[in-house]
Amino acid sequence: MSTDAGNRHRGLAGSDAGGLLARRRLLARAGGGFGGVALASLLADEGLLKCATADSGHDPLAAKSPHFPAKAKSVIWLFMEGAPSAVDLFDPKPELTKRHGQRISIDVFNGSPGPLMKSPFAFQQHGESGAWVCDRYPNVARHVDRFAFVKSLHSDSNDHVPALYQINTGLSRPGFPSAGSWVTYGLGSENQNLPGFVVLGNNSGIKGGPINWGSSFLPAAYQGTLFRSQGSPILNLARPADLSAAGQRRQLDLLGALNRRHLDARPDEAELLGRIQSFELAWRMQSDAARMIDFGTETQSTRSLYGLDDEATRSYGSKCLLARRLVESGVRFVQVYSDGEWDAHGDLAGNHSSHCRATDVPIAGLLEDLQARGLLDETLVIWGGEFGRMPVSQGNDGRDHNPQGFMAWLAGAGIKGGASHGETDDIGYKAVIDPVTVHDLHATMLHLLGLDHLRLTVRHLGRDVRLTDVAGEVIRGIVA
Amino acid sequence: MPAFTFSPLPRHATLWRVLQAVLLVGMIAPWALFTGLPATRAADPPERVVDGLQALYTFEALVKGVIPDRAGVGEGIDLRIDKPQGVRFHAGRMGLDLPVVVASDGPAARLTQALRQAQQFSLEVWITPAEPDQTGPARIVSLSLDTSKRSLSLVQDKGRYEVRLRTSTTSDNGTPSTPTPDGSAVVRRTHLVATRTPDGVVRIALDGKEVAQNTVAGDMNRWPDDCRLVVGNEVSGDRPWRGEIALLALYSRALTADEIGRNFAVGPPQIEEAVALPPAYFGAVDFVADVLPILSSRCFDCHAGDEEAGGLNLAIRARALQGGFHGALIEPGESLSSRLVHSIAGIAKAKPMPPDGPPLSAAEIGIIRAWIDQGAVWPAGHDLPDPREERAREHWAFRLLEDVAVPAVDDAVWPRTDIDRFILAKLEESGIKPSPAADPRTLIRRMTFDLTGLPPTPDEVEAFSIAHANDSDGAIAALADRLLASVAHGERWARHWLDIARYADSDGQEGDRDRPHAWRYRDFLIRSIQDDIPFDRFVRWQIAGDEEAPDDSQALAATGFLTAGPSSVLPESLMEDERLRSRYNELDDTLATVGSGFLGLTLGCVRCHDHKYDFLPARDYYGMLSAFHSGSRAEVPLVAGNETEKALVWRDAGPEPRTTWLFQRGDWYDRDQPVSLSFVGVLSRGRSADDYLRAAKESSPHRDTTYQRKALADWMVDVDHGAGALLARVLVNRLWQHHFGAGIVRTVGDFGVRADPPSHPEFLEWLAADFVAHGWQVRRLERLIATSAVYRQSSARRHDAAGAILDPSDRLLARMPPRRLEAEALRDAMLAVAGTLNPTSFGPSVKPPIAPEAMLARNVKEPYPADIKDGPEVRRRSLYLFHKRVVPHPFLEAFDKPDAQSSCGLRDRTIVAPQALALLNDPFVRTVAGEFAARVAAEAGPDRTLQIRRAFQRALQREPVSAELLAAERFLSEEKSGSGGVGAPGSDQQALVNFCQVLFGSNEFFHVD
Repeated sequence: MSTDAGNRHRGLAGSDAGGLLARRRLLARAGGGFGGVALASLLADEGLLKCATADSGHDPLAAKSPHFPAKAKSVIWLFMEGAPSAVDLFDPKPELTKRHGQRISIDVFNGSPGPLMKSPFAFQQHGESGAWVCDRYPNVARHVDRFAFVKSLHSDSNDHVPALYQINTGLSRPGFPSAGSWVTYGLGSENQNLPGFVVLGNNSGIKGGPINWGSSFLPAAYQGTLFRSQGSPILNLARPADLSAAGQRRQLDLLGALNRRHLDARPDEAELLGRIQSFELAWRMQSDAARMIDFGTETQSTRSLYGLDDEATRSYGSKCLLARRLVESGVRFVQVYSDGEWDAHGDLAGNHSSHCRATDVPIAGLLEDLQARGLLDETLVIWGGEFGRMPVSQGNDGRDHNPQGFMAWLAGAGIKGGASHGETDDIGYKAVIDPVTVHDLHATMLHLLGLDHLRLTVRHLGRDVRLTDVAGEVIRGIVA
Repeated sequence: MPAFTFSPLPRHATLWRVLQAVLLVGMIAPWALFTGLPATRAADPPERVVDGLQALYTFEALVKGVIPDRAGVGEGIDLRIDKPQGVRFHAGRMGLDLPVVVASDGPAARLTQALRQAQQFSLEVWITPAEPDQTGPARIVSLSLDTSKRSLSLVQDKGRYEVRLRTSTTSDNGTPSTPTPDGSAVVRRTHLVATRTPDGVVRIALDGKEVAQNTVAGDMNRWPDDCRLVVGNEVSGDRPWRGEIALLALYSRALTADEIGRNFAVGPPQIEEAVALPPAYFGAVDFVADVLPILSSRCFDCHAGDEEAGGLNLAIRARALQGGFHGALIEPGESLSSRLVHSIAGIAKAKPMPPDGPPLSAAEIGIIRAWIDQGAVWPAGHDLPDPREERAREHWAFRLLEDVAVPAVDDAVWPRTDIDRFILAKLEESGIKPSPAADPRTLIRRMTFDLTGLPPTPDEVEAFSIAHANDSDGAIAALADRLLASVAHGERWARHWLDIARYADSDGQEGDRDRPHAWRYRDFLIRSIQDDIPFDRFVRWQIAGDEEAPDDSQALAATGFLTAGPSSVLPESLMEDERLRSRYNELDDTLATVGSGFLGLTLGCVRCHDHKYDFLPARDYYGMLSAFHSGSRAEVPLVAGNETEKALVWRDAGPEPRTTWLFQRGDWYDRDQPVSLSFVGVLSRGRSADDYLRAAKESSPHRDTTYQRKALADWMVDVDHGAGALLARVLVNRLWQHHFGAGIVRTVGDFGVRADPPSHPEFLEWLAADFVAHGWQVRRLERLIATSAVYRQSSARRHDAAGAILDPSDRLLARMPPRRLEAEALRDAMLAVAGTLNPTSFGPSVKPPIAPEAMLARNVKEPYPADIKDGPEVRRRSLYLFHKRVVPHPFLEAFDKPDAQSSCGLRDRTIVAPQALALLNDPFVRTVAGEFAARVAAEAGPDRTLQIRRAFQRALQREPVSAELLAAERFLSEEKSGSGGVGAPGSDQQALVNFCQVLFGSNEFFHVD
């Protein structure tokens, strides 16, 4: 989503800019495919890219070198909004089953805690690692040897929105940049015709809204862009109804002529050239972004792999497939929110069964497809929610919020498959062995992307702020 | 963490004495000493190989301006640095951060001849690359003529090292080269030896282990005598390598694996040899005048007051002499063996100190040494229990206001105001003349946008141009007066304050409930600015209007500043932990906003720990917090009894303050230390919070509030005993920023010790003092700025004789920096130009239509309506638009309107494609373009040329030039006929709409020169 430009093209200002634009237009009209790549090679051929890379100071999304060699190039974060329960999915607790019905002293978010409640689901061990998975996740279970489980996460707030802000930005208060924006700030993006950080949202909206993917005091170019898998993927992508493509092209040509004349009198103002180029980029994005959601090029077997033919899995499957297409195209960071919410205050069995059903095939399909395309080696996949759920019941058959012990799994680039890190206590309430903070999770994510969380900083109000605040340690045990 | 850790010294008594003796005669190469000593015991450490040594460099410092060749073979080949300021020396290493050339003055002929004759060599370095990925390839060491002709080079290329060696079988460039494996170049200290035997076998060893072997056949007879030896770059200066180098050695023979291992085992040069120490200052030193300033500026951050890193306190005599966890560091009379000296010099394996910032200079170390040698005299009465406080009081922003004289300038004609004399004085210092004045059209456009956020009309432009031709000063003054008196000016500046107050019309967080009465604060801002109420009262009312003037509805509404931040309403049934978290997060946000917005203090950090830099102890934070802890948000009638006119205000619960606790590390269950109201210590002089509180209570007959906020407000505006001087500096800087795009201090919300230093310190001081002396009158100051010669300058870039841009950062204001319209001004300008801006001022915020697909939050208690119709009632100026925190207005957001989650003093100015998409495709832009076209057609009639001219006059406040007119006419005719593309032909009106939309997207439309 960003600018191509700024003073990096200072040498091209004035009359030569016209030549550059002409070449770009040619490219756009020739249907230059995924423009970023084609454009880069065209410019390199003409010796123009040299100055483009020499000073990328004005191109916020230009790809940047990591601090050290990266294991992962991009991230797909399968975000299970509403907080799934670890003890009911991947972390069964025999002690909880044994003590089912006992009352314990415990403080819960909504008050009036019930007794300990065993999981309604059956569990089996899978793969060589022997990881436990509940019977509602049969397809995900086939991939457990690729997973590294982190079973000892904990965070601060018992409330969804502060917890969402924390897992997304590191802090439970609003006002801080999201992890995705930090990553694009640190690494830029590989595709200049698409946003570097894309959010595939919950189809009923996301609690707490855009702050979850906001850039706060980082430049707005790094904020997440919500991408829809149907209709117009991003806002303002569709031309006004009363304007033809040719008409808009003519507008851009006149605009270019006026702007170039304006620029000629101000040849040293990089920002002006940047804006001229942003219009050409917007022109290309209209087709490139629309093409992203056109699944017509995918084979039937791929469509089935993601569960697109099944009503129950189509929504999440479409988002998973779109996520693959995005990282394949060079998008750096994709968050894939589940629909509805795993927030099972009542009828946990029904809630989790239906969410497992909606996500099981799509997630398994995504992992399989990434593997088959060689993308899993360079893509970090994360599964998890904003916190976990209580071992005690709420209203007979539900579970209240629990930030004191929850889990995530990671797979793909740089991840030690079959690993498991940390544990909660015997009933799955608090992280007690090798507890992991959200800062640690973020530090690990950055580490796999080749970024040192201590060095990825921005000066804000006199302080060098980072995603991990004043904490964070890489979880070495899950890094290959 | 211990501050000082090192092994006992001296480890070698004989050597130690020799070194002390050497000190007396001056600097001698450390390696010469080592290699000159006989090995006396088998247990002695291994020694470096000297057989065949041709050149040897260590990099602890420059000696007489050069890096001397310490090999002692023939004539030394010394290296000289072209830009000595581009390197740093520390702890025995030379750091190369910037492209510099470290090279022999002339050909290294002796070296070339020795190696060529032997047909073999060894090249040895101790290096630490700054990055694993360096390209060029980056030259670490080179014996070469230019970028493509060399005898021998060691380079780094991506993640590996390569040796390029020219023989009769290679290119002049020494390729094919011998590389180390990919990924072997990593960021750590590395010992690398490259050797070649006479039979052509090239080997590279890293840290004593062979990692590459290759045969480079042929002879070395083509090595030219005129190659120079260069470190860290190519001779030509365009292949820089970044990193640190500690040693370079060249031998005229291939070292064996054993010998390489030996050199590796010796390690990099240890500069525990005291020869690396700068000499002690020769004269008498005075602790207070000479030593204390060094300790204070470089050591006290970590070794004074509460901070005693490593157990060391250097601010109290007894503690300093006692030392840290590892014992004494100062041996009076013995600077050579004082560990303090080793540490600041970065020698003897001592942890180099200070850990941040540049190392101490040789002169500073020399003073410390002399002080110790002279007995470490520390006069009584100079212990500083909290030296940071004294230092912070001396920080430029925290001092009392000073009288500054207006400087004399050479050019007596240019200045119009005293402001101009300050700016001109700096320009004259730099030998730069100010820019000529801009033309009248540019001036009125600039001033109208700056002061009102709207474009001038064509009539206004014309009238001003005529007046300006007769009397430019008079016309400018009249224009400033007209604009400053307009409501639009109040609206413009209210918008700036709304950013600082992070104002929005809803709670934010999950529920994001609407705040239907919040707008009273916004209207207070507009009215106050329009009425030009003194700034000190403007501040007092926002902090404590209800306590200051309980019967004044504007004063009540002003406390909306304290209520403007995000909040969440949690039911009492929720667990206490969540409610406390929410409460203290909000109080922290309020205090942080007061701190940054008014005082340029970053109080947010102090919640969890004492401020590292600004001397803001946690006690000050919680003492300030208690001013707000007794109150909360309330919706109250502005006039007693009138329930229809409410405002969202801040209210104390009653006259008794609630207890505030000092939470260690922000833990709100830690309730051991109650704190009472107190203010920032370094900004308080002779009046306590109690004094202010007593006076505040005595000033009012009412007893329904704590008066803590009034006490705080009184302290904030008190220029003699409180924070008034800082408040004034912060405000005048913000005013300046909004006229020139950047403040005199660029970090507008941070005036602490890490702030951007002022570009014109005396000027800032003068502005602040003048502002206070004239009764905190904002409009007077704005008028002064708007009528100044600085403000009148053209924005055209100028170049010096060599073609370089003059004042490229605009720091000196050698021109008017051009600016981009903010989101609101852009939207308002489109509506104003189209003639469909609803000019109604004040009143409840209006909800504009927002595309449902742009509403992305779930569970909002009062969802944003999806069915709002466009129409005159929503065509208000943008500051009247309802800002729903979790449903930001997509157009305004795209153009960098802040998200109102935290205080924003300086907006981003991004250039991103979604902005272009909005201008091309947003239905709102398209609709307004249609209205603009209708207006143009109505005003200009059917003639195409007249239409184009009118559109230019309206949108850009000028006539089109002929090229523009031609391009526009061609565009309109192509649009009409549909030629030039496959689009269907449109009507005249359609073509005009398309044209008008283009003007909205043009750079000229929303950049202000």
